[in-house]
Amino acid sequence: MSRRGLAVMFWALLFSAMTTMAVRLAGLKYVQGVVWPSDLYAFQQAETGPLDVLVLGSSRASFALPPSALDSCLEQEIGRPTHSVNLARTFTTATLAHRIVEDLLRPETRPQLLVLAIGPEFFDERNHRQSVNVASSADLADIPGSLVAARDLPTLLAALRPLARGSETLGLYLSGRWRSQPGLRWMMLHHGGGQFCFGHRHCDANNAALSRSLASWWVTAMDVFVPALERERFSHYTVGAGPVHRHMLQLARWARENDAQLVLVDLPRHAEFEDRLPSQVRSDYASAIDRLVQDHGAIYYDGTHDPWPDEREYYVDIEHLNARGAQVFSKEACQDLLAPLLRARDGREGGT
Amino acid sequence: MGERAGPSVLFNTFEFVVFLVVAWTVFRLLQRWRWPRLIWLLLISYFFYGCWKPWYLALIALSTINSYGFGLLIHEAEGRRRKLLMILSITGDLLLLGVFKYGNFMVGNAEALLGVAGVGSSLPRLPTELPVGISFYTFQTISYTLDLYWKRIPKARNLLEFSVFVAFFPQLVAGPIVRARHFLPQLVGRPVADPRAIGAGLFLILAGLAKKMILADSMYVSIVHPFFDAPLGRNAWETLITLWAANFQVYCDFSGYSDVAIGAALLFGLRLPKNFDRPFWSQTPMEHWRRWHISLSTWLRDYLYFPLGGSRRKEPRVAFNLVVTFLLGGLWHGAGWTFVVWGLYNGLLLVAWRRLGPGPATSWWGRALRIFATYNALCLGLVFLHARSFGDAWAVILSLGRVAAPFTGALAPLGLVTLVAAIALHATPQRWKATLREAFVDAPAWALGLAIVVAGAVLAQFAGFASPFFYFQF
Repeated sequence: MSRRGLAVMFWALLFSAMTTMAVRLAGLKYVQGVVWPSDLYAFQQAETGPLDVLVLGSSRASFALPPSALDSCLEQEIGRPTHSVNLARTFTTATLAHRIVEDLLRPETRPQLLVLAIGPEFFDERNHRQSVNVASSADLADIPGSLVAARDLPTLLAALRPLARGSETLGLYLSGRWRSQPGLRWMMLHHGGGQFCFGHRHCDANNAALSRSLASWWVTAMDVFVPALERERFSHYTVGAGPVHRHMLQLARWARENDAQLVLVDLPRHAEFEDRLPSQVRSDYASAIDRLVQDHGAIYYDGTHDPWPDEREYYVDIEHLNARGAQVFSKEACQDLLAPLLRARDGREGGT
Repeated sequence: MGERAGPSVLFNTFEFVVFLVVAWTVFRLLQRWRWPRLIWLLLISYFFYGCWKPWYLALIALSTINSYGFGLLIHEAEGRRRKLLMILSITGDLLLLGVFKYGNFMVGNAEALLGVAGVGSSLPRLPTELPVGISFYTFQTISYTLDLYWKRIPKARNLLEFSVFVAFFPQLVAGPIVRARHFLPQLVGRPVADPRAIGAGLFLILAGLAKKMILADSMYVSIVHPFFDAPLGRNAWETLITLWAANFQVYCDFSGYSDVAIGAALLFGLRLPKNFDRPFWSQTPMEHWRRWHISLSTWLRDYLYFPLGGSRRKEPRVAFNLVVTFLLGGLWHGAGWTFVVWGLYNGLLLVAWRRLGPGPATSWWGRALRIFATYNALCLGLVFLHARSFGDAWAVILSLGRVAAPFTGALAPLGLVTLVAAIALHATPQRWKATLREAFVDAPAWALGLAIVVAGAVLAQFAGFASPFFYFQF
């Protein structure tokens, strides 16, 4: 065994761990998704006041619930300005959603409504991209637990990611890369995040540009993702026990302790997706939702009802809404659910 | 933003670091036992390759068995039977390469020919895709067969050693193309425990990643890709600078990969051949090809150019040999007519330089002029390697004539800065680099550990640009 090689590995490991700890102690730890975290960092730095609605979820949530559409509707419905933010990240399950809440929210920025914009994958212990959740959110102390919980190679490797997190974060911070992606920062600072925004001419340009860049997604989804959907995403569907479940319970507890109403919004899915959901997955998913409603006071809203699965013109692909779809769905969720909830909370606070 | 599949185990990823640490640690534990050590090398190499697509393993196993099996027979045979076996072995290798790399190219061309003949019909495409690395390991197995046939090397001692030779992970997907006579003897003895090899290997790995992630990727995203994505409307100066950047981008990308591969192999006590030797200092195109992708250039020289007669024939035949060699070299790079034209261009450039090029330079400015002329001549050929179609390539060439056209502002400052940095790095005297390397190699272990962490922090800043290595597509 090469002693020098071992010694180099030891020192590299030690310095890596020390850098990760130092970065964490310096307050530079922030959730890193697959997109540069410019918008999350902007939120953390700029957000000071209370939130009315905080949306968390995967990329579907990022597309489906634009804060500017929600705020426009909510203001009209409850008669006061509201402040919504969308911190959805690609591939998010309860694991990453919980860490975003823990890492980015402060007491003064806690939301009235904590909206988890979900799909079946949100609770899945064997989520096909759970490695992204682990890599984005795990800390040094989480390594042993993440290693034990890892059920595939990508998740195993992701469990070790905190070892490199310190130097990665430090590099990004020192180089100012967190200031890059001006589009993302602009969206977060002026329109609460998400993919689309409304009510401003720059929003029209943003929506049009994004729509152009997504023009091929439907074809790609039909050619590549649909044939493999069931096998890739739902062949090992597991809910109710495991790290994702534990994070979900901690998220529910956080909501309770911070007086935020936990809301589960089941996002629309096109029939090409919906029809391929195995019946066992539907049943397990429904059970997970029921438990959260019954045991943790969550409020559930089903956005998969007719005619959403058949409205092709509202989708970018089989699971992401386009700008028009997002606007219509946000208004629907606002009128049917969010506005009455906020109104009731306003009344309660006014009464007390 | 969409839920798209992630990349494989690329050298420039965290996953590769973990892979390398595990692979090296177990290897060192097993190093005193020959068979376990070789089995481990083969397992990790197949794992590395299987991470792209598991079915690639069937191809490489088939190619390995084909060459090893025929090798045994060639070793025993003589005369015409020996020749026949050699032809069968190489036919098997080329068949794999032909079907998976050139199959749909040939179908497409047949379709076009039928269209020209008035029999317009759409032919079914083969359900194949290009497996990464197939061009590289096929050339390795062919070189083994030919060397064995010419009795330049003994047969491989066993299938395990031969399999490691074909599949050794550092050089598997993008070279350097290794020869059996260099590699197989290294597998026989126990690897020498050279403490300096750790430092030397790490130095090459970090330097290679820096070349790739900082220089090549920055030039690619800020200059090269935007240009070749929409080549219309640029003026001559923008086009020229982009071509310079494109040449340096390919160099930094590919030589960076080679550095990582050579460095990673060193950690396992194995030496891979040098693949680049400051190619842009070349005073002639001939010299350039002796310094660029050396393992391929020498392969083409030894197994194609020399058997055709090389330079020891009359001038027309030498010209023919050069053009054929470069034509096939172009086709090796990709199944497309742009690659063929790129090869043809370089072959004709060599022929023209042999006949019309200036004699040896005696003054420094004469040498500088020749270097400049050689570099620009090669840049022009690069248009065909980058362009997506002949239309695009023609548009780029035409834009070189738009000397008085206004600037479009398409050259991003980041790309220009990295181009200057790449030129400076290339021009840095070798002894300075050697001094730095020696200091790194002799540094205490804690300093190397710290260097790895600092390098991680620096490279993380550029990780957002991450793109696959350019030569994977070949």
